[in-house]
Amino acid sequence: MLKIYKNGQDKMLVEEAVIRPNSLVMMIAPTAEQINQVTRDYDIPEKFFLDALDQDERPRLERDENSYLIVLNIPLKNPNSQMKNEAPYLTLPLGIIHTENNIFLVSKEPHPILQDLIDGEYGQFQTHMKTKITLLLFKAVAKHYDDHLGFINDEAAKLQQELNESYHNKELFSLINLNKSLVFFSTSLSALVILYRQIMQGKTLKIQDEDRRLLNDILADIEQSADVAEMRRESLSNLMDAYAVIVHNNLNTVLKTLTAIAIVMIIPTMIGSIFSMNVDLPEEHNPISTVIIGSGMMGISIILLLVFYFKKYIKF
Amino acid sequence: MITTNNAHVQLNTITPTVEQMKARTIWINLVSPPQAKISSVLTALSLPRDTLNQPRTSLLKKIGDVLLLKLEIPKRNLPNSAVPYQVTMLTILVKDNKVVTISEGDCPLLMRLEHEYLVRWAEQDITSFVYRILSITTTSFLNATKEVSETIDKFEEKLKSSFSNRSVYQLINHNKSFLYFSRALNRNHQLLKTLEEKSYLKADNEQDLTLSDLIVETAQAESLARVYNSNLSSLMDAYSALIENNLSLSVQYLTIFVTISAIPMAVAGIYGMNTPLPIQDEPYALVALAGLSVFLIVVVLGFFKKKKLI
Repeated sequence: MLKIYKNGQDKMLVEEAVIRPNSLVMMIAPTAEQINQVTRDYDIPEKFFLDALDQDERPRLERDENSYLIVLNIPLKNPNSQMKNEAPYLTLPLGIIHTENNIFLVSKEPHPILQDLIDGEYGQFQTHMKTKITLLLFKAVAKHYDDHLGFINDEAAKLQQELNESYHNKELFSLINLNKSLVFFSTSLSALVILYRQIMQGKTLKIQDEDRRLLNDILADIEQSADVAEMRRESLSNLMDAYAVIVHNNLNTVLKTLTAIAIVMIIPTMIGSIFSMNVDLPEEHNPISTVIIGSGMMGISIILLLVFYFKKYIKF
Repeated sequence: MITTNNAHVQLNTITPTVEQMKARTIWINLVSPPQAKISSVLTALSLPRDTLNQPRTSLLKKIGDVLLLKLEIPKRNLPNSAVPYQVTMLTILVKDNKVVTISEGDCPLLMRLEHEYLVRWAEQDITSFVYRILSITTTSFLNATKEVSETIDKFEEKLKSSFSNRSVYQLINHNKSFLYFSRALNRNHQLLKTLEEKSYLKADNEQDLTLSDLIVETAQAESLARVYNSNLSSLMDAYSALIENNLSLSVQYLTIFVTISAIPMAVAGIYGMNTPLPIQDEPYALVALAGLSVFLIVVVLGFFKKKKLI
């Protein structure tokens, strides 16, 4: 999908049909044909697009003769998170390509950040202000990380509730998957911090003083988020250890109960076996002996059950 | 002129061959060279003999007009070894327009560079080529990190249903690779920063930018390896607990089986007694008792289900 935006008469963004100078071009999951056309017309290396659409691309800056590419990683809810062994949140690379007169935003999948940017959620801008748009995106990304770290926290709290009762590994796996998401965030955030520091040096982007202040704030936010992500990861791993022990204990309690029941069942079997031996047993033809032996079995079993119950081996 | 076959490395630094006249940058690649060969190279570059016997792992030094760089590169171990990757040293000597690389054992990343050198770097100046070697080391670390991380993902999949401690050992061993990587990248990062500060190599603006990009990339690669490493260490406990749990769960199923099979045993035991029992002489006695056993089993199973014991 390719959309072109430009400021109209009353400063509102208008969609255009062709790419003119000073317009913002949004390319979401672009086709090979669209990429070819843009690379030809604007002299952008094709590698920029391939990198921006590569799922594993990390945040970085790359220059070419007349354009440069900034790759950011934005957090995203995983659409297949219901699947087994998938992290609930992922990061998605977003490519920002600056050319002489245009700015291109390239993304493999649609993301709310892009739509919100166009709707002016993050602030008003003119489509020719490339640095301003880029900084607005930086700010939006920082905010999104902050939000998503909050979501992860909520999910961890929800899982804690479920874990109290559980003795299966399922919930522990959910925690491990959540931890995966935090690792994605952690690696992306630490890479973003390094990238922003590089941009602060101003070798690539022309940064005015006002922009520098904004970038400084954003850098502080991202650093904070990176710290938070690291801390969450630490606490989540402690939580996992604690719960591993709890789950294990729950399971052992179950095993104890089952073993206690098995022991109670052995009693009638044992007495029955003794009286079925083919040797002379006292009073074995007397019908009353059946009743006596039967009540003996019942009695001993019930006594054992009571003993186990008071020993807290069995709960009714 | 490139020679990878260490049987005959020609090092005619005094009488240049026709080939060398054409190239702007000359690359001499020594792979596991014998001591004599190293000595002859050092003599040719008029360096003291003990130049390479440095105790420190990573190193950047200027000796006379020769720049000596020692950095670490990832080295893949044999396919069946416990730790998939280690790090090994790569020594780079730079003098005028000559680059000498000395590596212990085969070095795939330099092999990949050979073709590139022929088509491109031989014509470029020396700084570009040295930066290219540095950049390819960082890239190879990144690729190795990715590869190890994919292998670990596969192990994690297996761990879900594993009883053996082998899987945990595999994780621990793979984690060692991340540790080596993060340390090596940290040292390389420091080395690159020093290279930038002291500007030992003549570089134009473009090349300065290349180096600063490279420093950023190395810093990012280091933090990636570090995060993976610390994460896996903290997951290790969770995984050992999982394995323990898997074992206990199987014990649970076995116990349930024993408990259930005790029911027909008890019925058979009681009716095996030599005392007179009700309905023991009826023709349908066996069917009735079997039916009673099945009924009891179903009741007990239902009770376990309700009590969440299964």
